[in-house]
Amino acid sequence: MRGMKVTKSLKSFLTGVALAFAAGSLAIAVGWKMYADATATAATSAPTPGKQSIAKSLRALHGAAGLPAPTWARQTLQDLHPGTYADARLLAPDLVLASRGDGVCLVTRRGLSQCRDRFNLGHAWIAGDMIRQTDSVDAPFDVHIYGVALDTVDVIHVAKGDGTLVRIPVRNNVFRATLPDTEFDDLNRIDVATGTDVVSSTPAERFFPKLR
Amino acid sequence: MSLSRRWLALGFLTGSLAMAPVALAVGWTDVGGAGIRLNERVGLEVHTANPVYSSQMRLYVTVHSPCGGDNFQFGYIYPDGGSYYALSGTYEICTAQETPAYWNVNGGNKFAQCKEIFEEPSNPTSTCQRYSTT
Repeated sequence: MRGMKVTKSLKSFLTGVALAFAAGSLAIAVGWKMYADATATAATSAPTPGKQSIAKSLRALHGAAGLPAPTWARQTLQDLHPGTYADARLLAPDLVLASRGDGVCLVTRRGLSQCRDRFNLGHAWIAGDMIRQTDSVDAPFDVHIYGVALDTVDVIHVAKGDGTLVRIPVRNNVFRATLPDTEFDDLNRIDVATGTDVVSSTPAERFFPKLR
Repeated sequence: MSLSRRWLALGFLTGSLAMAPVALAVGWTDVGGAGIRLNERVGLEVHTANPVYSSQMRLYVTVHSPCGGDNFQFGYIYPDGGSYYALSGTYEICTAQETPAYWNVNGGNKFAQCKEIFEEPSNPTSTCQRYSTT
């Protein structure tokens, strides 16, 4: 008799705990959705008038290049700006491109994800980061450079301070490279090239500020 | 109140208390408060008060004109406070298309940081956030 009472009490207790977890999870989900919607609304405004569409100038978004965007990328696109992204394509490992109005969204699995309505170096959008090879304060850095370029761009050149020139080919309007054992401080210049012609050039520090 | 209802209530209370820290830690959390003005002075930055687990970061910047170019950065700093584990390149975050910007880099237990490089012509408000799955 006493055993049955204890079992019943335990069942009630566990039901209460489960209910609390369910209610808490629901509250977190609803709260987060409301917060995200409010933040997104606050950031929205009309597009800048008088701009050319960069989305139209990217052939990879108008054909069958690459593969359909995987779920992780579609989720990030929805997080950035809710929409359909019918043309979202995986164009390089862990790198997805999609149009959004006249602009374009770049989504990476490990790195930058953002939409833009203009490029930052002539006909190219240069992005990247510097991450240690292992999670140790003594580990060397790798620099990851990636981005988007118009149909006319063939290659991105990254000149290092030691005289090395890293050539990053553009395929399907995107590019991506890892410069091992490299820090932002080691980068000197970035060129955007068509064939053998450099069409845009800038000190690397503009995108990858030196720390020292 | 019957005995089983009392146990049900006690279970609910226990579960709620257990959920409280989870609710505070999981999801997107502001770094340095909402509506900060990273452009108030050159090189301004915000970071978490302590090393905390962050799986990614993002930054909202109020739409503004003129745009200031590639100016914003994310970083993860080791608990010693003096060394980066990871640092993003610079982002322009100016138009409605450009905000928010995400940095999908898992930083582990580090100081999470948002910073700006130079003073833009306008002084838009920003909200720096980190995401935690723990």
